[in-house]
Amino acid sequence: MTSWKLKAFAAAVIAVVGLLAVGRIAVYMVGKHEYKQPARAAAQAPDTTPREKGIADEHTAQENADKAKPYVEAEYRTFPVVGSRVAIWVVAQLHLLFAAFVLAVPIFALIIEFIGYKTGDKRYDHLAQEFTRLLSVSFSLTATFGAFLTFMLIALYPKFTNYLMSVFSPTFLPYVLLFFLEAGFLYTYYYGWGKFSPRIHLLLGLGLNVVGTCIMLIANAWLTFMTSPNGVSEKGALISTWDAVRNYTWMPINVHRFIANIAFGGSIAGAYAAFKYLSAKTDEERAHYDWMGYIGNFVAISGFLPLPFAGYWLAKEIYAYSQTLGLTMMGGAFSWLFIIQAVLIGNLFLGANYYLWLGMGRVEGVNPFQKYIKWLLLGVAACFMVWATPHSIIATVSEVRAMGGSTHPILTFLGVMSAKNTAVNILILTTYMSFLLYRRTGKVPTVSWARAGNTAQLSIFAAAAAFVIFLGVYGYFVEATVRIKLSVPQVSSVLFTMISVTIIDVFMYRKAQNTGVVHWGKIPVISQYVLIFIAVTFTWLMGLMGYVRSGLRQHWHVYGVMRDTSVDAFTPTLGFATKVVSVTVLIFFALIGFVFWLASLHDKRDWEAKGVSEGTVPLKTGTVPMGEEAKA
Amino acid sequence: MKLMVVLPLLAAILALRFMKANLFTWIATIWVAFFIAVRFGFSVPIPSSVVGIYVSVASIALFTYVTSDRGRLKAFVAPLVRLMTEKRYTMLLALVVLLVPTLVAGNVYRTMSAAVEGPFFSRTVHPAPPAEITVHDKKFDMITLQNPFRPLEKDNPEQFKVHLQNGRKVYYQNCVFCHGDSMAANGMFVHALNPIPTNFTDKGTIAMLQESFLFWRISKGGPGLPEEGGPWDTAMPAWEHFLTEDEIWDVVLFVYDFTGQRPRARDESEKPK
Repeated sequence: MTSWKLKAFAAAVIAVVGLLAVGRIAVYMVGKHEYKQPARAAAQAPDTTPREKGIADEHTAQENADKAKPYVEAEYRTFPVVGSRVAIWVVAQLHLLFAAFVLAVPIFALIIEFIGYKTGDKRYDHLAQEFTRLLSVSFSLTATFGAFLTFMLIALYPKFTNYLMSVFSPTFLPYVLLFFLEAGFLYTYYYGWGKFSPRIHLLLGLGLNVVGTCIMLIANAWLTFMTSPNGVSEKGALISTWDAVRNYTWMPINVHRFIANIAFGGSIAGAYAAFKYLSAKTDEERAHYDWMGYIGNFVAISGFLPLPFAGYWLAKEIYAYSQTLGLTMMGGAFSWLFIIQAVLIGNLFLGANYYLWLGMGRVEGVNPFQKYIKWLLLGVAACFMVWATPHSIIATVSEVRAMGGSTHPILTFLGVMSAKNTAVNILILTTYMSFLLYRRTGKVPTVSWARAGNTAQLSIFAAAAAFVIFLGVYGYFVEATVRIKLSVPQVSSVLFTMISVTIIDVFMYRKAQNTGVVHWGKIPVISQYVLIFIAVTFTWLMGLMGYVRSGLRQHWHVYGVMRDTSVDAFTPTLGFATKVVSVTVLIFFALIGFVFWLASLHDKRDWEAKGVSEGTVPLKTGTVPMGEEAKA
Repeated sequence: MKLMVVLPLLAAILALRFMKANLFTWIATIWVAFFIAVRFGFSVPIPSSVVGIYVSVASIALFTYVTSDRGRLKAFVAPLVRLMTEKRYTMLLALVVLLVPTLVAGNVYRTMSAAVEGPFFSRTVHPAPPAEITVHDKKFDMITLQNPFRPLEKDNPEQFKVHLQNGRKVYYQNCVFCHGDSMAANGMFVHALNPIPTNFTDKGTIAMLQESFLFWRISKGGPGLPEEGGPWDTAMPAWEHFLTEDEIWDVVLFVYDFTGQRPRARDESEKPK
């Protein structure tokens, strides 16, 4: 070691020793001679000030009080940010929308499968299977939202939920058992496609539909009981569960919902087809999804045409149960919502007609029926306007004075049910005529009695329209009870027209000559947006009408029996309600988009690692036996 | 209808027929004619809220018509394309470019410079009654409440006439000043009221209702109107402070009898279980 290195080492050692020595001396001096405040010294001892003792006593007293606290049932609990009512509203609505879809798709999948079975046309069978593909995820989402809703009800509205349970507890077990059955049927139906004989498979589909409908009937009893309670005493004590089930609005809701579900399911399936059409790469795909969209829309319209009748029956029963409920619905706070409803339904009718007219463009050559469109449109638009005419008109003060009151001398005739009923019946006839023209596009009947058949059909249409309008006008000259009953012959004449004209048409066009080829997939793209528009409008409409049905009860959980005493015991404004419904619809379509995406994975190629060329073994366990893989 | 407005519109449409106008001209004329007819064609003007609904429906319908066939859409767009591309239409195009913003600006000016007036009024013709009311310390269930004197119409017509006469007396002593001699909301106080009273001769008012509804509205008046769905400003007093229960029922009988209307009745099948 050189001398400078030694010196440096020695200096470092001395420096370290010196530092340690200074540190030790400093510690000694501070410890020994530092001034200590008495308080600081006392801090070492336990704090026995009266305040600390007081806190400790309070704590003990609270503990004892907590232990001795009796159980008190909560009436309501709060949900953060949006509040309990909106939270329940959104979850219930989402559950209902998925449930409607899950109930509807099997109905028309079964019908389409049956058509395929009878005609031997495999396309129908594949189409039914494709529709069913949308079901499995939707079923899980329905069940999840159902469970979510139940938990939310128990958590946020415990007293009310307990009351419903006390009335309907006998229905819960069958409900759950039916759910198991539904799951069994659904998955066997879906995964068993092509694995059983067609008849067995059709029976599975039938079972699925029967079980699904029964589930709906039970759930409908719970919700209709809230509007028109039955089977309980004036104080709410249960007298008969069966009477509570078959309450006043139960059957009208059952019928209305069954039909509406079909229309809704058809429209969602149509939207799925539109989504696939718009993202299709080949003409073949476009042709397939155009056809699928057409079938979806056909199902939607088929359900949609009788829907106003069912809705009218429901409204009539609500009115019959209670004038207060009836007036709240049609003449009071909700009357303007029915104008929104009329606008939406009018748009649905227009959209459905529009899609059919666009569809005529698929057929080769000049279409002789195009010239009738303007007259059909005139009918649809006129009826749409009548339906959308409000009875309680929004007007400025000067307009009210000019009108001579809050009703207009002319518009008042269009604002009441006589006019609305007539308008909707004519709308249905017009839409049906559009469908009939579409059906005939590119075909010429070959039967000898074609001319007479056409005359007969036209006569039936004209007679029905004249009869419907006559009864509509006659309704202004009779009292209300008679007027309400006039809707029955109106509806009957429209139904008669649709049935009789269809029968004539089927026979007349049985061996029709095709004058132009139908080019599936050759339809303007706007038609696909119309399909999506129809689906969104249906969903929005269901949400808004759900708000009316539920909001009718106003500050009652169970109308006239159990009062809502929560902070939300008031009817939300239409503006607020439409916002909640719109957000719910957006959430629903985001979720249904997820369902569509999942369903479309079926057609996607399996994943392969990059660089693996065609013909080589994919890196997927189980796809190739180990020995084979080794050879490859 | 104002024939001076409607007839020229019909003449214009007829003229187009003979001129063999193109589709664009047809659609534009129909749209404008429809707007003018609805907005100015009625002797009693249609409120702008309803005009808005009607014109929107007409616009959607015309859009549907134009776009539902490729050939039709092409025919509709062709004049517009010509206007924008052909040199001979430069002046016309410039005029359109100036005219459209001018019309929009004019409409904005018209809207903003409107005379000061009360806000839009959304009076609901038939507010919903409560499930139960108390009149003269007596509770009435609105679901089952019926006019006790209505059955006399069949059972004892003479007695019924007595009630009608009493109703007439009550009406002309109390109600005539606002509701008018003919019950068409044209009483002498009408000009001071906002909104003006209900027109009972209108088919859309009392004929839609059960008598219990009128009993509720007469006895409770403006102060007894429900809060939901307001505003509910009405000058009608609560007549329960001035009339007996029987007098209210009598005047209900008279109002229906005088206007020749029948109350909404419950039939047997409508009664709640």
